[in-house]
This record gives sequence, structure tokens and C-alpha cells, in this order.
Amino acid sequence: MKSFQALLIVAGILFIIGVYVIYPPLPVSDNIAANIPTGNYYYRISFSIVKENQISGTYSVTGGTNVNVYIFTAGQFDLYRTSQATDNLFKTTGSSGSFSITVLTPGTYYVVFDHAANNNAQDVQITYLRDGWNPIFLGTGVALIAVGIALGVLGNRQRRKQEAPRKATDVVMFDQPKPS
Amino acid sequence: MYSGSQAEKRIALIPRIVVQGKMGLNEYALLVTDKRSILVLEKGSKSGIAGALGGAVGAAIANAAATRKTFDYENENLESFAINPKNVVIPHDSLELIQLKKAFLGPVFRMEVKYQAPNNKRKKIKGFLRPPGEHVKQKKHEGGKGKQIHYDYAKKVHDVYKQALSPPRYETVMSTRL
Repeated sequence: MKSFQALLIVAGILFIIGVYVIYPPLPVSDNIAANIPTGNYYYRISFSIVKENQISGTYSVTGGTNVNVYIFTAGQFDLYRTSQATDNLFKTTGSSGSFSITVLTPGTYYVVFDHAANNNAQDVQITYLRDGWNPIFLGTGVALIAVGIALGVLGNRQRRKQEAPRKATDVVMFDQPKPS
Repeated sequence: MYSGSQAEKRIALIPRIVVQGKMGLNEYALLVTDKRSILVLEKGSKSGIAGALGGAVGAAIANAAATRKTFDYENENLESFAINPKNVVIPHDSLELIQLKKAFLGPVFRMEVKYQAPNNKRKKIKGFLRPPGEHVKQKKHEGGKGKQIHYDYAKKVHDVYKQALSPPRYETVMSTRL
């Protein structure tokens, strides 16, 4: 392998990693009219998180009294749905309000709404947003892309130096006299 | 396989034609004699694989990292080009169609060649007549416009086949929309 090939390959790898590191997941937002049926039921929204991210939103009970709002990790949610005692990342109770957490580790997270006062059916208007930036990721990504571009330019220069020049750059007619 | 003879006369060299291969873009030089056309592989790239792994950046890097080979087309034995399995030999007797037309996007012209392979299979080669960068740079330096430079390149290819093929053969196989 020639040196310019090694440089270009390393440049490409750094660039791709940099783009991946810097590129935040697309923000996800939605407005949901949820219903929690009568009985021991809940309503959940799941989020698959690959990098540090923020989950936030607002809720408002439009038909009913109060709801509990939880944010769980996948493990906590498994315990919750099997009616076992569990911790949570966030909890609030009320007829309206907001929720927000910053998630540091990748995984699946759940925002759960259930009955707070009694088990009568309730309608809840929910708005949520998953978004976020991480300055460390941003800085690392920019640095990797910059190094990738610099190595790419260097590799391209070396390629031009090392590559044999073309013998013909235009269509050559062999039996024609060459222009002087 | 076509076997060459002493009487075979080199007509022209088309320095660059880009053909989409299974693994990525391949750059050929097209050596045209009075009996056959030989696509000589100068630069083969695995940009298709790299593209699948690393997207457009991966493909571009793989393309840039590929090395180009140059040959002495004027003096090297034609058979040494013909026997190389990486090259494509198209005997002019087996030609069914040569079509030159402008690509949908950009100033580049497309070249499509249909011919009968030795195993009686019909083959089709689709390529882009991309003049070498040095040529485009030089012509632009002389005041040429990109569109005209590409047209002239395609026109020269057309003229090469007008000279390489017998008049009836030329009339039969050549389909040009320049």
C-alpha cells in the first residue's frame, strides 16, 4: 500500500467517525391525545436513545383528574409493568405540568402515564420532544472531521506526486502527424 | 477470443472512459484498432464496497485511493492488452451498436456498446466519456467551456469509429446523438 492510500483511508475513517460523533439524532417530537382506560392501565411512550439526549414535554389531563408521570429505564419499566416496586428517573403527579430529563447512556427509555387518584378512564394531551447536544461529542466530532479533511488533502497531494502522469490526455490518432 | 495479426493497425487511443463495474467505477483507456476495440483497465476502484460501508465519503475515498496504471499504447504489443482478463476486447465484427449520447445530468456523454461475445452471449458496456482532468484543465485554461470540451471529446470518439470501421459497418452500428 502506498503512503497516499494509507493517508486517504485514515482520512476517510476519521471523517466518517467524526460525522457520526457530531451528528445528533434527528429531533423527535409529537403531540398525542392519549387515553388511559379504566382500571390498572397505563400509557407509555418509548424512546430509543443512542447518545446523550434530552427527553422533555408537557401534559394536560383533558378528561379526568390527576395522572402520575414517570420516566423509566428499560429495566425499571420491566419492574413497573409487572407491578413490582421500582425506582424512576423522574416522577410527577398532577392534572398538567411538564417533564424533562437528560439521558446520559444509550438504551430504551419510557415515559409512562397512569392513574393517580382513582382508576377511572382519563384523557391526556401529551407533547414531547427528544433532542440534545453534547459539547464533548461536538468538539470531538469537529476535531475528527478537521483531521480527516487535512489528511485527505495531504493524501491527495501525495497521490498527485506519486501517480504516473498520463501519456495521453486527449484522443490520440496514431496515424496523424502530431501537432508541434 | 479474437486473435490479433501483424496487419492489425492502431487507429486511436481514447484516454479515458469510465465504466460502472460490479465493485465500483473503473477507468479504462480505449485502444481502437481497425479490427477491434480494447478497453484497457487503468484504474479499478472498490468504491462500491466502500460506499456500502462508508456512504458517499467512503466511496469518494476509495476512488481517490485507487492507483492508476499507464501503458505505452503506441508501442506495446496489442496481444499483451488483449490477453489481460481485466481488459475487455470487442472485435469490430461482433459489434451490434455504438451509441453516443449526452448524459441526463452534466456535460458528460454516455457511450453504450453492444456486441456479441465469443460465447455467443450478447454483451453491453455502458460508460461515460469523461476526458482526463488534465485535458479539461488545459482546455479551460485556453478559454474552453466545460460543455464544449465534453462535446469535442465525444465528437473525437465518434470520428475515431468513423475511421476504424468500414463505411457499411459504421452505418450499421453507429448511433449517435451528439
